[in-house]
Amino acid sequence: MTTISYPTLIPRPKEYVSGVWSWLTTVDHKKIGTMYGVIAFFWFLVGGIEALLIRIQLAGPEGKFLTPEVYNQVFTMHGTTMIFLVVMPLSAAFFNWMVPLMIGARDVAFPRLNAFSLWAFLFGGILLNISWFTGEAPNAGWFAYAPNTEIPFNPKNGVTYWILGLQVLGIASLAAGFNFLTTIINMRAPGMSFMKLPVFIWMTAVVNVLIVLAFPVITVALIQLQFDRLYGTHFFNPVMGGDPVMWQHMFWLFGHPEVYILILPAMGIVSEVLPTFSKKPIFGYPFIVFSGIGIGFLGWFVWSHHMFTVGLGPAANAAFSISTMAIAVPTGVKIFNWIGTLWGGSIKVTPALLFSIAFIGMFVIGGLSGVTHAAPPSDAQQQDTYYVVAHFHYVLFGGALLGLWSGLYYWWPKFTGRFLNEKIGYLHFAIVLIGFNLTFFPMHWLGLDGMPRRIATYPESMGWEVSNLVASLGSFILGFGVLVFLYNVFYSSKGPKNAGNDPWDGRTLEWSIPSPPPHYNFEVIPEVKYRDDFWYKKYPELANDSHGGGSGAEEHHDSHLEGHEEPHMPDPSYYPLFLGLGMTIMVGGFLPFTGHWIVCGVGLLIFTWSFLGWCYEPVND
Amino acid sequence: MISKLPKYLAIFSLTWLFIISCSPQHQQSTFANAGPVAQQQSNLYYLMFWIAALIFVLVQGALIFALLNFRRREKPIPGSDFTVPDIPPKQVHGNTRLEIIWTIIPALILIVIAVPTVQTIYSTYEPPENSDPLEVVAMGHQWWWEFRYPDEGIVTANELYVPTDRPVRITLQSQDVIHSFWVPQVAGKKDTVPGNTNIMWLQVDEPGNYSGQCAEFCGVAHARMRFRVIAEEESDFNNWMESMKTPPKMDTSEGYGLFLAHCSMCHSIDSYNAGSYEKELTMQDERWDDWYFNQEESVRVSAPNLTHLGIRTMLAAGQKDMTKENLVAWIKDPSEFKRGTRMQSVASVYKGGPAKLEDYEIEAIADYLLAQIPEGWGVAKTGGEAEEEAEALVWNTAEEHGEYLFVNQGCAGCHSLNEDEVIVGPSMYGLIDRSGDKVPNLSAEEYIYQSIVYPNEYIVEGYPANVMPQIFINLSEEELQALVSYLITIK
Repeated sequence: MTTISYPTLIPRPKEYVSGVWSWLTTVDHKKIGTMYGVIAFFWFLVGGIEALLIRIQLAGPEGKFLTPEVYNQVFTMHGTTMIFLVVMPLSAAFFNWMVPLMIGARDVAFPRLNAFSLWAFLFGGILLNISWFTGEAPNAGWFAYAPNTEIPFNPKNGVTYWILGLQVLGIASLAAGFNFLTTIINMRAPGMSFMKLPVFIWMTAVVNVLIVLAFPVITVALIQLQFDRLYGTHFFNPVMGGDPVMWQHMFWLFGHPEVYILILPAMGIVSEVLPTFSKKPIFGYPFIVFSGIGIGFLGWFVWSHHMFTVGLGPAANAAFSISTMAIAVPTGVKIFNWIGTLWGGSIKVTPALLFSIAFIGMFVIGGLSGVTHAAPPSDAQQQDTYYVVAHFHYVLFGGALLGLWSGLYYWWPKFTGRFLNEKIGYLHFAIVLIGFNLTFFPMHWLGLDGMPRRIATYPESMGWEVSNLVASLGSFILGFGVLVFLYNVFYSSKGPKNAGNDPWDGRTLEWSIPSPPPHYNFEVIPEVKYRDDFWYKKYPELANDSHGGGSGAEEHHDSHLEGHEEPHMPDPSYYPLFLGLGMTIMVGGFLPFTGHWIVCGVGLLIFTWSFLGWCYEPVND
Repeated sequence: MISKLPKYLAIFSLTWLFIISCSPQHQQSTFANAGPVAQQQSNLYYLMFWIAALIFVLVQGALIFALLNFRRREKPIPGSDFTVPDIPPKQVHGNTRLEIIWTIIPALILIVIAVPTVQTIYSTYEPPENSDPLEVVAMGHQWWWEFRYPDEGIVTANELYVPTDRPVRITLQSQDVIHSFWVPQVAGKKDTVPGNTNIMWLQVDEPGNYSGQCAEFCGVAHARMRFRVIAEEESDFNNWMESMKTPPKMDTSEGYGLFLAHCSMCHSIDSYNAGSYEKELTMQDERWDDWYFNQEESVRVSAPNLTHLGIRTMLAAGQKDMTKENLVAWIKDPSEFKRGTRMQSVASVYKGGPAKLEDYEIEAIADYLLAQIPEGWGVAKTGGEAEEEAEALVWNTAEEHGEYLFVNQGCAGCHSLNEDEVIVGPSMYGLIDRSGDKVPNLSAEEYIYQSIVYPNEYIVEGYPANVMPQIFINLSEEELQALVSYLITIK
């Protein structure tokens, strides 16, 4: 067969080049996962500093630390950063690392697309944050309610950066979403039917369905807003007949599924950690799985609970109230099943387990306070107050982030071959849990005491001083806890590589291979007979055909490698990096600065060249 | 010690309850209910809170019990022979009956919550039938509140007077961005959405001041957008409404002229007159459009109505007490109290910086404003010294009288006496030479006279309409003639 030759300016890198280029050109899901994690953690520190600035400003009444203009930028970027640059990519880091390992695959379905997602995420985050240095960062809140985002009220470029940065990040998420879905559907090891998938993989699948369906909605809304701001349309401008409420509908139609995009990965992690450290299978596997699917499905019918005070009328409020309350049912099912998993187990206490337990405990608080604003009359007193801030930090920090930390302690030996130090881990856990509750628990009280969100300061004599001071002190304890974790990473990287293949007596396939895994993951693609197949290979006497996902698959021999040669893996490529770079420059070129169309054109050139190069890229011999 | 954790959890949640129950003195507490709407909303919260507290204790208790009881141990627990060995326990995969139970029980609990929720949604949506609600319009502006009483023809700002024990039906609107009207002690919030009209209602049981605040992020001064609901007994409230339609003692002190010159383009101050309600609504719209469509050059923007400012309790949308000291400081440099306020960025007397006025001029304006008290309303906050001085003035010639009026009535704030200098309106230099041929059949004097009385009819090309106050028709014939005779001398 003749190959079509395309005049590539750069040859395809040889396999396993060393140094920086090995990272820049890699298509290995593990390296990509690591980079996702490192970059997201960097943004976590940035978003955390923004959070501390907020808490310094609010520590006392009439704070003068930040001007209201800067305060508005800081809280907008804190929310945007933590959602799009921290929790989502940290989850993506786990998807990248764990999906192929847990389903017995050698890589994701589209390795170069995977690398492209990473670079688009990196450059999108940079584009968003360049705004700090060009006059004004986004200042309209992560929800960017129109018409406060329209030019007459927001003439500087901050909101335009926000729009364009989010578009790039959205493309990154969409590409990753399709990639993981395809991987999970098509690349499962022989015999691994859907009902034998690890729960984390199930939750990953649900999350990526949500990403694929929700991000187009925000993409459309952002394009409309961009046209409003740059090209004189008026989708959301009431003065010209537009409708600002339409923005809210579109934003929350994306924004509510987004909430589940943030929390379901952590729920998946907890569903892996608890069985391992209890030495028991997950309790009620089908119920856990289908309640996760149910949450993802119901998540589409609740968006207007963010809009109970907008004036949609009593009928709409009643309907969305009931649909919102309905979500509490599958959520409750998950929590009860986790407790059922622990019940009667042989629980080994480790930092990973404690983070998972704390996840459940904190998430329950966030869930219960969530029910109190599922009722619109009660929400009328809570909407846009610190009570809501407390609620979603219990869900997103106490939930998502504690869950992700649990995953880090759990899989760190698999990632690196080394344990994270257990003693420092307990210290990290204790400081974070105390700091977190000191920071966010008083906010329940502040909200019910009438303190609105997003106020740059508050007067004396409101009775809010003590709670705010406690919250600010707590936030610094929390920040210190994060530093303890960083120290643990540093300290543990000096330790011996003594984790072995299976340090926790694990249940799923990733524990059957070396730590860290070879770049091809599985020398022999495993054949799966049971749910938790690896566990039953270790303990065949525990295998029971009536449980654990039924009996085995057909025998497959063709997946064995002849003579155990190193499997051929996808070659590295320069193009994902340049495609992501070109796309970001092109999108950034829409910013209205002098000569911006030239920048846009340069980006388009890089984009087109990379795209064609990608399409015609040869395979190394 | 760890086994006492459930007890600590119980103490923890009870402490929170204790804090909640001990706080009604806080002015924006959602538990210090002062009316039926807030009361119904609280009742729903209490119902959910107690259910949630019970679930909290049960779930956290089960979680901690499981963690402690099934912990892997090398040695038996003291006093028992119970150990959890490091071998796989019974591999339980689930229990369908349990799953059904813990699906159905939460669903039932949610029904218990949902039924009163839907009831309360409807009962807090509109005032009770057969009640006779007071109609009020609340307009959110960046960053202050406008309150209108359409049936009474009253416009005021930042302090909403309501009668006690009578429902108030509030129509919520916005001219710029989304705001949210929230008086925590009286009623939960509802948004004011530009282009949409929302309604809500509230009712206050006891007379008093209730603190409110904008709850939807609305830009730079969001935190400074506060207001008050002032509830009064029916008779006191009626008295207030009458007073709002009564003129203040006329004050022609120097502050009046300075106010007209520098403030009156945006702030109305005479909305006690019949017909002034409709005029004020039109004016606000025009001021807003003027700014919205021409932000670079506009010298006006919609602003709080200052009629009878002297009886307000707070200034700058609830930022400070209404005292002369605070008012002077506010006029001098508004960003001290409220960064971002449009007053400072739009009005030509500021142009983004502190007021370009002498201290005594600012004090004069403050005196004038604080004297805006309806006749017969309590005791005036400032004396009438300025007035007495004004009465003592005598002019030798009509021109001299006109020159006084030119300053006193504020003309000098917008009209320069120097050639080709434009402050806001056209320069008065050489007026006599160009006024004669502006309108056929009008002499220069007649043209100037008509322009003062009916400014909108004689807009000079290139200048906007409605900027010049249309109040000089109230001057006496003698004063108008004096003004004209002064103006024709400027060369």
